[in-house]
Amino acid sequence: MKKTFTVFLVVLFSISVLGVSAAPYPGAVGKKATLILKDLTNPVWIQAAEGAKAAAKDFGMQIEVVAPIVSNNNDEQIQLVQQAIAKRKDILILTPADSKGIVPAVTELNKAKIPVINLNTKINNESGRANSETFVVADNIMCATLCATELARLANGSGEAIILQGPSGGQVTIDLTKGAEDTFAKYPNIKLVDKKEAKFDRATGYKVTQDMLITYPNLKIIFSCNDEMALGAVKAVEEVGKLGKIFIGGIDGNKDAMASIKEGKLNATVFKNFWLQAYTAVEAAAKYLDGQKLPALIPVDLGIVIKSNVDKYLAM
Amino acid sequence: MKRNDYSRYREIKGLLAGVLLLFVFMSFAAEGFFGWYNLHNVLKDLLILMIVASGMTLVILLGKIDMSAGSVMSLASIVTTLLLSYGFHIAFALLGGLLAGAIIGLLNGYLVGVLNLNHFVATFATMSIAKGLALVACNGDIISSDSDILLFIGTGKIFGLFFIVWFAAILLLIMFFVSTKTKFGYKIYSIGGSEQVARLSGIKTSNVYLVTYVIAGILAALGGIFMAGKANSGNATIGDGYEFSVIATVLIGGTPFEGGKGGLLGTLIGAIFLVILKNGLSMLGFTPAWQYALIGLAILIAIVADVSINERRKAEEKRRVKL
Amino acid sequence: MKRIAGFALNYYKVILLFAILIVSSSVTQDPVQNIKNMIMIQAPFVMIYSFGMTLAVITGGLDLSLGSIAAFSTCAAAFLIIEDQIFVGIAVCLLIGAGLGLLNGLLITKAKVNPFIATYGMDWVIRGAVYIMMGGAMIYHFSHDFKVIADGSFLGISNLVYIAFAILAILMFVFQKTVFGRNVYSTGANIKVSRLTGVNTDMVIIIVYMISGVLASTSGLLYVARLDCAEAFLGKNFGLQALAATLIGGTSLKGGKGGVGNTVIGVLIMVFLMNCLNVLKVSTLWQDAVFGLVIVVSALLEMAKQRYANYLQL
Repeated sequence: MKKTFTVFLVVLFSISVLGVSAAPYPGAVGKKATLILKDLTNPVWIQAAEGAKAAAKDFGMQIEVVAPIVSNNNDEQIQLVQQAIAKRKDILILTPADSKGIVPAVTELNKAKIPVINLNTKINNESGRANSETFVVADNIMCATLCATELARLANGSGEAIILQGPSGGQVTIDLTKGAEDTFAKYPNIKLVDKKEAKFDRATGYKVTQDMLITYPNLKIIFSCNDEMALGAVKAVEEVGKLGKIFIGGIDGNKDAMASIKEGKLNATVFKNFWLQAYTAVEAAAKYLDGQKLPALIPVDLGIVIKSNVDKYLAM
Repeated sequence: MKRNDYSRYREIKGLLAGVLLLFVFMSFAAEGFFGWYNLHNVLKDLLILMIVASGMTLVILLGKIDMSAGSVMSLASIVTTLLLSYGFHIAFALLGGLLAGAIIGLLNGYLVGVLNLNHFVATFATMSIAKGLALVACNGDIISSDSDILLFIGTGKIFGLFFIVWFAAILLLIMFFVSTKTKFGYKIYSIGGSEQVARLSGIKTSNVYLVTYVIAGILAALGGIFMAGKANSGNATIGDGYEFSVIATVLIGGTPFEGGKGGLLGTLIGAIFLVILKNGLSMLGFTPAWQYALIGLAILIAIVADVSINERRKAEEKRRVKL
Repeated sequence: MKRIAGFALNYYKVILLFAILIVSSSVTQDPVQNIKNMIMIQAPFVMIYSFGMTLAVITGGLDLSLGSIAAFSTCAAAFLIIEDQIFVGIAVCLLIGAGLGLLNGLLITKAKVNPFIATYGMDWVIRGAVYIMMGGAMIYHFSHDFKVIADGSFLGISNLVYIAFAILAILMFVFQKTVFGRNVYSTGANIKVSRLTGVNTDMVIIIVYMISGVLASTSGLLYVARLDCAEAFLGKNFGLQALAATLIGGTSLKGGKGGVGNTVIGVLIMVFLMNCLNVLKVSTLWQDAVFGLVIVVSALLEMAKQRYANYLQL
């Protein structure tokens, strides 16, 4: 008995020593990577930057996290890609703000033989000229599907629904709207009555929801493309005393959205786990640099946050 | 004219020194900044900005403004890619994009030059109209193009230099020539100096406004098409807020809102300043939050320096007159 | 005929306002609630920061930094308000607003920078500063005592209305009845002449931008109280919205004309129109285009009114 215990201790010790002294992916140590995000002013994207930095530290890599000044600006992302090429980075992790518009920049990366890890939003590779090593999926269409499904369940699969959108013409808005539209279409009794732009802004979401509540008195579901607008909608719905009768869902998993879920006001949000997304992508980059073969898809767990499980997410 | 050019040089001497200093600083401080690959790309972005800004410079020389430039870029990118997706020949698609810019420019010119509407109000309104038309046309979607020619326009090279560089070099030479050596350029400067005097001396001011705004519209549309080429897709948000960068470029270059003073040379230096600053700050690894603050600060410093140099010279001239 | 045309031109804004209202009310099932929403909640916010823009426009300038001033001052104040230092927090917020306005004013008068570029540059600097200060954090869950400022009502009328109208009354009084107000208008109309007649135009302009900053902070604070969250992106569209409202209201960009009274109508037209598009179920994609058209049409009508004033005996 005693012997087994000693052996166990020795094994444990050696594992922990190995874990500290030798990096899990020796080929990645000292390599330079760039992570291009869509935005670095929004809290959730700042979490992603932290996740990437934590991973880089764990795997001994150097990482630079950059994002356009004007959030979701494709032209600036192209410039950032070119800057990464100019700095001769070993690998690039890319979260495209515009999956079609980024293609020429990815072609350039392919030519420069800099491997690309695609994160969050898929690069459109219909032309075959924008190759990436793997896709770390936390796709917006999936997020929208998760949230819309939960809202449909709450509404017993029937009633009028609206979508609050981000700035028109942007990819994030297009993808999230598509996910929600397709999901609601599966329920014959759910009628998507309107889609309204509220610019990802809480104050605008509040105002637009007020108008929508007047326009559609029988409204049952509000699907919002981010938590900011969803919380604006919550406020408007709360003021007319319809909380609990109208089901509101957001996307992102902001701290205050989860607090609202705990209070029983907001009904659902999708915890996109930006920290883990970025960590996983950097780990994939490390594996690639270490010579390992990557699967075509690496899913990141997206969690639907509702009242019954919100404590778990709040504790994270 | 020659003396004028020389005095222009004297006015922008300070800015030129600032640009050189910035360039040297970035070359040493920012890893990867000083290299052909990066500088070539910087040049491309600079020239796209400069094409739009040269139209804006003419408008500001008239003492007016064009707030619709950014929206026209978006509209042109959408119209071009949309026509391509309907199967039109690339030539028609490009023409369509330019025509969209010309129409918005014509509308601006008509409202300002003929109906005598306040220029800011008129172009502020057409800014919304052009953006709205772009959104309605693309139905809020991103339009992808599989045209290799559009891609070439945005990213292709001839003799090792980007197509945009060749194109912009010729275009800008023409613009320099038009603005300084032709009757039309002279008219712009004299209207900007004093509209009444220009009118009394027999210049048909409304025509000059119309033509200038149409030129500005077409140049903005060109900028939008180049942007669409870079991305090989059309996007209704391409030009959001771009007009502000363009106006800042012109003002930094020493063409004031009052009109009649300054010119394209200054704008070019202003564009170099802004683009190098943006590229350099990003290469140095500043987060967007810091870039916001630093770019704003740099714009303010550049303008304040320009204004104070001008003020000092004015005071000097006054003293000389008194003597 | 002449009379009708004259009447229509003279009161076109009010007519437009009622026309929009009639259309939106006829299609909604609950027009009373709808009008209450617009007048008691949506309009006051926009009004307060639009007043700031209007004042700047009267002096012949404009203030593009309204939104970032609102964000910076409220975020800074939120650190105090969340600790239940409500009055200190509000004071700090307004002081920061005034201070940033002072910087705008100094840039414009002492450094002689054009207001457009001065406030645009400041907008970048201040927005950057608030992003750096917050570092992605948000401040929320304020105490009831603070939220009631924007949430509460008295005699069935929302506090927001009282606040907006108190501000309106003060501004109307100051700008129409006092020497300072007259100086503001004369500075806007002709700065050189005013200077020659002994007006300290620099001081006038500085004070106006300080007032504009305070108004931006005030509306920001009301948003924070109403939505229970202070965050760095607040007010990104304040500047352009306020400018649109001011222009639709008929304050001339040449300076010296118009006033906060006009802007009340401008804001109402904007809010009513947006609401009308929403209740008519018009796709959001049309919003920008419709807005542009309304600005052009109202500017053209304003011009027609002035041009035919004699002919129509207005």
